[in-house]
Amino acid sequence: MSTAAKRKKKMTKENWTGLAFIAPAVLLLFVFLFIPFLLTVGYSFTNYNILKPDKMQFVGVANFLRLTKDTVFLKSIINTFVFVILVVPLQVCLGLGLALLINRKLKGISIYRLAFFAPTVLSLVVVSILWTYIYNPNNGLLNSLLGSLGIGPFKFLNDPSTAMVCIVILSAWQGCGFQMMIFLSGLQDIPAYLYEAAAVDGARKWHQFWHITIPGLKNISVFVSLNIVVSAFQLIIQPMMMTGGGPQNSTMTIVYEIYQTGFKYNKMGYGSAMALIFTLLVLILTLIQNKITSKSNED
Amino acid sequence: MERKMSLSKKIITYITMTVIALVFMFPLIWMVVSSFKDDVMIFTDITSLKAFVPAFKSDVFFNYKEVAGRLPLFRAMGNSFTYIIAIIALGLVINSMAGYAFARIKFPMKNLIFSVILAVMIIPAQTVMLPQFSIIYKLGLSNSYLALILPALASPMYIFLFRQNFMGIPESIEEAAKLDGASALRTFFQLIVPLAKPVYATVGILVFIAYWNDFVWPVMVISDTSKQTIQMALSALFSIQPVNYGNVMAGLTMVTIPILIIFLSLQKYYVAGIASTGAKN
Repeated sequence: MSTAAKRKKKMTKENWTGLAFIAPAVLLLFVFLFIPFLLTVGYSFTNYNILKPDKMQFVGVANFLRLTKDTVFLKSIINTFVFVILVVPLQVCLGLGLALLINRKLKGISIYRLAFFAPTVLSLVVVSILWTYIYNPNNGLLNSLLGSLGIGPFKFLNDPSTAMVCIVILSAWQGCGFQMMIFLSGLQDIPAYLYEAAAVDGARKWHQFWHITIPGLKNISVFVSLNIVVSAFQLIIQPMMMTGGGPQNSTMTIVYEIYQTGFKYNKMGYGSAMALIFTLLVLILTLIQNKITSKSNED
Repeated sequence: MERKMSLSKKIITYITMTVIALVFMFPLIWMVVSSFKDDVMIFTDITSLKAFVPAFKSDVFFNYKEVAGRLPLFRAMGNSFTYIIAIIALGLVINSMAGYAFARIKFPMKNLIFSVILAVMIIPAQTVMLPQFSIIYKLGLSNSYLALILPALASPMYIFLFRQNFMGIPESIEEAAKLDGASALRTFFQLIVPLAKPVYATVGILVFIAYWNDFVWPVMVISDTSKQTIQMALSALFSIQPVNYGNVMAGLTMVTIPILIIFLSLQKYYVAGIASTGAKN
């Protein structure tokens, strides 16, 4: 206690410099991250409406009770999980496949790498608009091409049973270049002598893949998959641009519903309660992620 | 494993890879190719592979001219450039100074503050977007660039990235400067920053791509058409009537070009950024 007090008195020049160096960042994080986080918690127990600030009242857990009966919100949770469950394996497999495809020493290989990576730098707005025209049931690209082969027509985004799958496909297409890059660096970290030894032992390509490549990529696969889970959980732009959450709320997601409730309809209190549930779900996912990561690091 | 591939095997590999690449790229090829066609041509070609074959009219860029006349895309690009440059310039200084302090300078409660910053890294942006909006609203910043810039400046992830990077620089470099009596600020800007250029480039391009493509937050805080960001202007393209495929594709292509140029010229740093953050938009 006394040493701590002494230390407090004796602020050296270096101490002040350090505090000055972090001050702008800490101040900004405080105003735009820390306070908003506390407000999310606080608002979620009120009926705060940004247009009627003077009518704000503490409502206890009323928002949360209402959420348990809010069919659109519950649907949005299910939809978000469905999206995650479909997009994660698809995107990981696509990323791995592409990485295996371009992991060879050939002239001009960087052009192919670039081609597969290009969609990841496009904005989700561009990608969403583009794919809406591809999926357009009347005169879109897919139905026109498939139609000339005598297949379809499909309703794609206009059918509640296929709309989410359509969003999954374009999302995996847009994002898998990232995973390809990460897998590629993982593949290049697998020592070449393992393959050489296996080849000497007469192991077939398929065996080499199964017994050297796959185990060599195990940790990186865990890292890659978990990373997609958390970002996939935040899905909003694709349904916002392409379907407005429809048809029949089949593409309504948690974050989109938070945006609609809190921002479009000004119900900050109710929207914050949704945001709090969303945060809890993300925290649970992150905890599971940490557990799996530390476990796979032990192996 | 034979070291040298036979010629025929090489050709087959190239053909396979090219076919896969073309199939993978079909949406983008269709986008760029259609941006040079009028709608009559687009709909005649759409039922066959002709949809992916370029065809040009005498006025090659007519769709681009039309879409630029229908929507203020150039002004919106200018707006985006302006506010993103501000975020990059200020953000690099703010985050790297904090990162440097956490790496090198002694000050009270350093570990505690750093742990808190690491902990808030887990909070998803969507958790705080509603209160952030109400703070911006109460500060009277709605509809201004400050609403886009201020919340984007400080980032726990980049502070962490800078700290890791500065920790890798040998301390002996600063000790010489210290003996010469140089101030911490001078040491930082004259000695450390030049040594860490690659990480500045990495963070710079990550920030640029993230905010060039940002959509939800700008929609929430900007309502004035003259202040629209590029993605906002582009989303209007989707709803203006009459819908013209050629125009839409030209708009999409136009917005993609700047980001593609920046990506291609700073590719190395961007890929380094993915490796170190695992980030995905």
